[in-house]
Amino acid sequence: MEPPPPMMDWTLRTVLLTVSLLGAAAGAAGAFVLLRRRALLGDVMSHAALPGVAIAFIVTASLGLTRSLPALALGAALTALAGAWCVSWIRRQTRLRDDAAMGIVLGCFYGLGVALLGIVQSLPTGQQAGLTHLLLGHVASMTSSDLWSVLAGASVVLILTLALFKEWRLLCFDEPFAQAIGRPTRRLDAMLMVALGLVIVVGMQAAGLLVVVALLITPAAAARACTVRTGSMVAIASAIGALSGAGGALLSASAPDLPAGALCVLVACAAFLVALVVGPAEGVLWRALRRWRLEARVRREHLLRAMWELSSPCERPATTPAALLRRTPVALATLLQRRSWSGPRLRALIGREARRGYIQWTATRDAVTLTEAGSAQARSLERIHRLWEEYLTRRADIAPTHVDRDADIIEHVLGPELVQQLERDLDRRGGGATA
Amino acid sequence: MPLIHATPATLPGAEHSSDAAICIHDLTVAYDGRPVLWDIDLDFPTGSVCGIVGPNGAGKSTLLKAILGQVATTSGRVLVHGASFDTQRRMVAYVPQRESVDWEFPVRAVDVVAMGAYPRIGWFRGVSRAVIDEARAVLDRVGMADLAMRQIGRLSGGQQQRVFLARALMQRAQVYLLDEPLASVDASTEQVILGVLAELKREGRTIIAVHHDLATASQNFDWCVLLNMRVIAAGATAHTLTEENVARTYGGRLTILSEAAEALRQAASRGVA
Repeated sequence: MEPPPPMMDWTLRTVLLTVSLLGAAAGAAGAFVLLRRRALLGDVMSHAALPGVAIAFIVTASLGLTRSLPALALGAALTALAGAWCVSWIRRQTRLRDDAAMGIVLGCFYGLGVALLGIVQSLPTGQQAGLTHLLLGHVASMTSSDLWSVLAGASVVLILTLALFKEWRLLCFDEPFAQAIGRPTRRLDAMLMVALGLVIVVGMQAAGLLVVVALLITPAAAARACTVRTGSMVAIASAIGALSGAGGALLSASAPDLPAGALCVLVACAAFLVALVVGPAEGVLWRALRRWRLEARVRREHLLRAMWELSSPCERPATTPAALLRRTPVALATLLQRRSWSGPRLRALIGREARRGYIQWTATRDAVTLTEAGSAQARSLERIHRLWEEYLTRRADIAPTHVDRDADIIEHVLGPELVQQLERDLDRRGGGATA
Repeated sequence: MPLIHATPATLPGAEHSSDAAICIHDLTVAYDGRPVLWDIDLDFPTGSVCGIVGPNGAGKSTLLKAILGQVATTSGRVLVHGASFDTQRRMVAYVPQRESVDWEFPVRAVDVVAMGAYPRIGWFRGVSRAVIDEARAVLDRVGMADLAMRQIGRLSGGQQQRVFLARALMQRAQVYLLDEPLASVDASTEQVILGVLAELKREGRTIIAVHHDLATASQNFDWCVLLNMRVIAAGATAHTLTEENVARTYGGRLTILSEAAEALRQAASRGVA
């Protein structure tokens, strides 16, 4: 294979740098937009920018000028803001809610934009203008002017994010309080809209509508699943945005037939899926694991308590505390009837407790005995169960017939502090309920 | 039956006492053409624990928001220690209703408490180590030292209310405005909150709290205003919380005043439609 020509290399580097910067800025701005619960607004503004670009092109073309980036950017910014304003106007003047207002505005502006792009195509200079790239992007054929405009826009967005981080966090979390301490909430909100608008305007020309919309919201949503702190969320969203951009550009360099913009979006989506499953803050996997652990604990506590209730002290009367812990064996058949557990499942459960040293099989292997450690454990579980049961009947006015079932659910998660509180509340000083 | 038989303790037009922490004169607030507060005249005395008591929809929260300049007023003015709220902002701390924010927000308890110090920190500067330490100390004061680093969504309702109180304490204010601070909190949180309010009173600060529960109002407040669109009675709790005043505040009958308000609202909504 012959080495790529140096020109290609330069293009790839330009593209890499541009989309990474765009991703970083989109991630940071998108994080705050998401926290402000305006995720769809980025979508609306991006679509609303489309007619602005087309109008700007038609106007400049009729003046005899060629494609000029600043004019197109100005047009995009103006209609993007007009779209945002329309949403809030509809919300204020009608009984429609945000989602409906956004749907209406997005559709109208997008339709207008596509119609105007049709007119642009019919203009003599329209064919070469490359405005169709606005929708799906032309990442692979970026120019250095795209790089400079993204560099400028992204720098402003990132500087705004750093400078206003504290205020934006307050605005997104508790606007009335921000107002009460004298923060100019309207102006702060406007600054956030400016950041959003900048990302959209420079991003749309460099990478297209699809990429901008995806890079605004997807990295922010992924970051949300990874952390419980605002600062790290913004940083992670920014990093995921940059990596999605870079990843998409690199993938498309090795597979030139695939559009780079779509690859950027797919990388961002993949990052979101990964975060959703294994994100430390809200990962689906960790939640499933926690639930599974709790269920396992409930099962084993049921077993120990059943063994305690079905057995009796070996010597009667049990005169010393130690004698109380030496229990008679319980037949497997008796245990099976106790709860709705299947034979193999019960055996597996017993096997685990045997390895822990809480339960022993008898020589005939048709019955099990609690060891002294197991008895001690079972006795304290039994005590908590009784305490909770008593609390529910005496203090919480729950019908006695329902108590055992309700006690069952909660007692497994009672911490030592709560148990002590229960004891105080029921005027018990130590001592087991079953002793 | 007289149209309005209000005999507020503070008579309209009377000289406002100079030692009032918050002084409200002639205040009227309307939402969508529907009056919520009518002609309110109140002087909240400095250094007392004041309760704003009244039925649902009586305009209690609106009164707080009007003091904070967060609702458009039709008429009237509010003075905080003798000057407008805008100039006295730093003297006033605010505890909004717990339901007013999204508790799933990715932020730790200590970060929320530090928000109370933002006016002192100023623009373009981060939250310093010292502020975070102070926030932790304040959390300790409301019995939550070990929960400082926890995400706020993983706190109980009472603990969330304490976080809001701690944030207000960070403001180091003279006047504390609290919106339903004791609504659906656990017993220990209630004790902590009442304890802190008592401390603030001892330090000579003023507390003004919206309160929903008539039964506990007399124990918690030494000064009360009974509110239902207008001031039914205001003054020392013992004199205001009389059976007659309470009946008038919570009376089920539509007064001419609220009927008029309803008619206005209907007219306004017809105008829009």
